[in-house]
Formats: sequence, structure tokens, C-alpha cells
Amino acid sequence: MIEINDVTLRYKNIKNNNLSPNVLEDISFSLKPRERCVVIGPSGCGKSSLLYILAGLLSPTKGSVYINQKKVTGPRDEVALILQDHGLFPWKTVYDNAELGLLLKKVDKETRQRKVLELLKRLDLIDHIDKYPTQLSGGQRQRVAIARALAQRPQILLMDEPFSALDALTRERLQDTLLELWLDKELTYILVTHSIEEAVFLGEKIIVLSPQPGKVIKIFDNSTSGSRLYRKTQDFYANCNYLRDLLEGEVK
Amino acid sequence: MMKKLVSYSLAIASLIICWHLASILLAKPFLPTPFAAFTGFFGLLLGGQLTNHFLISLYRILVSLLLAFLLGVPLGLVLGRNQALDKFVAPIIYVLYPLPKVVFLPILVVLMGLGNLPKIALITLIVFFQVVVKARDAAKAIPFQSLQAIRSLNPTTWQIYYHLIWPFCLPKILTSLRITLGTAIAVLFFAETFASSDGLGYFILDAMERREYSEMYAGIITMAGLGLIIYGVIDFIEHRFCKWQRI
Ligand SMILES: Nc1ncnc2c1ncn2[C@@H]1O[C@H](COP(=O)(O)OP(=O)(O)O)[C@@H](O)[C@H]1O
Ligand SMILES: [Mg+2]
Repeated sequence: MIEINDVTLRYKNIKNNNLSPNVLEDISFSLKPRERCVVIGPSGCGKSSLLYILAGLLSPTKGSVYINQKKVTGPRDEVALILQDHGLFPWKTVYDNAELGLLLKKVDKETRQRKVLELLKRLDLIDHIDKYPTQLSGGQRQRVAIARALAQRPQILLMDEPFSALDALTRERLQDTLLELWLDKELTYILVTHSIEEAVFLGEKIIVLSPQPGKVIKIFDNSTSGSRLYRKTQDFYANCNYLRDLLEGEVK
Repeated sequence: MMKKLVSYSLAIASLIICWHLASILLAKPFLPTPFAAFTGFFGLLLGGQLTNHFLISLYRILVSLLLAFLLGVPLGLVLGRNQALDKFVAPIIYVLYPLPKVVFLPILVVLMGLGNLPKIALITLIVFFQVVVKARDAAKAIPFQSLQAIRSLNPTTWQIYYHLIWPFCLPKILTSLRITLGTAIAVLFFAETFASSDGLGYFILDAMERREYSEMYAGIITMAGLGLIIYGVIDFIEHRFCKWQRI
């Protein structure tokens, strides 16, 4: 369903057209429908850039991305992106933020309302629909961002460190929420994080990237994950330790 | 709301007390006591002699602000988001921006006569440049993350302007309008004292030349009221369209 072939990225300096050194180098992996993928790597290794490429917001310098057998050349309706800082607009209320994607697609008002209210209910935001993002807690804001992304009924959800600014308990609750949503919305997701626990809890396929330039150093199969209880298992600890050693080995 | 009312009343009261003391100490006819000035003001107000001048001045300044806004905001926002265009237009703006546009008044009068037109044109010109520059800078400062957020939703260019650029920039543009308002009123006053036969500027200068000091102060008080009213209009617009800024 998603195929990433030899993606290499160099940023172009707009002033003098010079190319930066490789930010991403020969990234290749593929995902099946409904796969849960996590990309982990240190800060600055190109995780956000990779998501921008998958979302069609940035073209790779070399290589290509195919989604549903079609080459990605721009943003697509079946792909939704949640940004690092949630990307909500402070001048729009919770409802208006959640509705934005559908509004831009000129979906009629009743359908918008039905889809958005259903999701906001589901995400425990129904009592806050008239509030502005600054009036919400971090966890609530992130849930609004999830609502906005899912309102479009995407097949693929891309998330850029969506929970990294949250306290530990809120973060774990949202990770649980994500798993639940994955279960009943038939999603494929790619989540980017620098947290080892998050990667092991949420990723059935974990792509480990090296520091600059970002290269795939390991594609880790973590198929025992996928339930809430996994967090308390021996497997979970063992895999966290394994991943930690792997990442530390790279940093040295 | 109550707090605001109290603090405004206190501010006005202390201004009036200072004015009163100054007038007693100076004891000259050109600085009457506030009481005398306001008596004169209400007399003229009820007599209707001020109404016309006030309305004409209000009309001139509101039309100018509106024109400057309607012309300046779209241009500024597009320049801010379009580097190629900005590269071409920015030098023109930078040459014209610091130029004191008041000096064009005689030319405008020769071109457009003595009516409303040259006054509106002059004020519009001055406010226009402020608005263009402010709108452009605001549009340039739009966070990359916000742009990516809306781009990922596959918008049209118009939708990006409507949902992101315009609401992001509006509060900053209104602030610049508020700051320019002082200059705009000063220029209005100047334009109305120059080859003019109506408006508050004309009224004030005429009263001064006739040594009718209470009339002159009535004009000055009305001019201050004019400024307050336009501030109120801008505040109202901000309250209505930028609710999110007040939380
Ligand atoms: N627009 C850009 N222009 C030039 N370099 C960039 C740009 N965005 C990011 N980079 C560089 O690319 C590298 C990867 O950035 P990013 O994808 O944000 O990494 P991560 O999300 O893993 O922290 C960094 O070294 C960063 O400085
Ligand atoms: Mg990042």
C-alpha cells in the first residue's frame, strides 16, 4: 500500500540554490494496509522531512513514494497529517478546526456536522466545541488534531511526534486512544517519535534511523504489540532495551 | 467592562483637572477653563453649527481608512506570500514609504480641486503605505508549521488566504491602523485648513482667526471625539473578528 523506494533528500537553499548535504539517504521500506509503523531516530535525523515527503508536501531529491500504486506528487485525500505542534489554528474553535479538512473539500454542511460531531464525541471533546485551542490542555489539543485528521476518513494517518509535548499519563492515554481508533477505523499509520517506549508500544514495524543523515539502520518487527496490556509485559521491556542499545550504538 | 469604564473616567478626570489648573494659572483668553470650553461645545452642538463640519470630517477619514484598507491589505498579503512579486515591488515601496506624502497636498488640490477628493486621496495614500508594509510583514511571518498544516489538506490558494493568512494577519493590520490613525487625523486637520471651507480643521482655524476661543475649543473637543469614535470602530471590528485574541 505504501512503498518508499531509495528516498534521498537534500534541501535546496532558496537564496543561492545550493544543495544541503543529505538529510535522508536511501530510505526504503514498504507497508501493508493496516500496518502500524513507527519511525524512530534522534532529533535532526530527518523524521519530519520524511513525513512531509510521504504527505506530498516535499519532493525527494532522489527516489519515489507510491501510495496505492500511485506516485505521490502532492497532498492526497486518503492521507492525513498531524504535525509536531498539532497545527491547529488559534482563531478557529475546536469545532471549526476539526471541520477544516472537510470544509476545504466542500463537503456539505450536514455531512460535515455529522462526521465532526461523531468524532468529537468519540474523543471526549464534545463539551469543548466552542472553545479556542488556547483554552484547552495539551492532550485536548492533540485530540482535536486527531479529530481533524480523521474527519476526512483517511486510509493513512501520518503523525509527527504527536504526543511528545504531553505529560507521561496523558501521553499513555492518547497512545491507547490511537490504538482503539486504529482498531475500528481500519487505519494504516506512520508515527514519528524519539521516544523508545512510544515506538515499542505503538509500532508493529519500527524503522530505526541513524543520526544525520537519516539512514535505515534496522527494520524491527514487533508484531506482539498492539494491545493496551502490552505496556506491562516482559516483551515490552525487552524490546525497549533492545531498541535502546541499537540507538546508543549509533550515537557513539 | 466596569473596570475599563472606571479607568477611562479617572484618566479623563485628571486631564480635565490639569487643564483647569493651567487655565487658572495662565489666565489668558486663549485657554478657557474646561467648564467654559464644554459650555461652548454643548452650545454649538445643540445649535447644530458643528454637526456639518463633524460629519464631513468623519466621512473623509472613514472613507480614507476604508480605501487604504481595501487596497492595501490584499496587496500586502500577496506581496508577503509571493517572493518573486515582492522582489520586484519592494524597492518601489521602500522608496515611497518614507517620503512625507503631505507635500503632495498642493498637487492633489490642483489636480482634484477643493472638495473631498484631494483630502481623501492624501490620507488614503499615507495609510495605504502603512497597511501594505504591515500586511506584508505579517504575511511573511506565518509559521511554517501552520502552512504545512493547511497544505496537507490540499487547499486552493484562495482557501489558504481565507483560512490562514487573513485571520493570522488581521490583528496586526488593525494595530497598524490604530497607530496610523493619529497621523491620519493630523493630516486631515492640515488638509482642511489648506484651501478649504468645511470640516473640523477649517472650523477650528476659522474660529481662531476670529478670536472666538470658545468656538475653537468646541472644534478641538469635537476633533478629539472624532478620534475616539474611530478608535471605537477599530476596537469593534477587532472584537467582532478577532475574538480569539482576547482569551
Ligand atoms: N526547510 C529546510 N531547509 C534546510 N534544511 C532543513 C529544512 N528543514 C529541515 N532541515 C534540516 O534537515 C535536517 C532534518 O530535519 P527534520 O526533518 O526536522 O528532523 P527531525 O524531525 O528528525 O528532527 C536537520 O538538520 C534540519 O536542520
Ligand atoms: Mg521533527
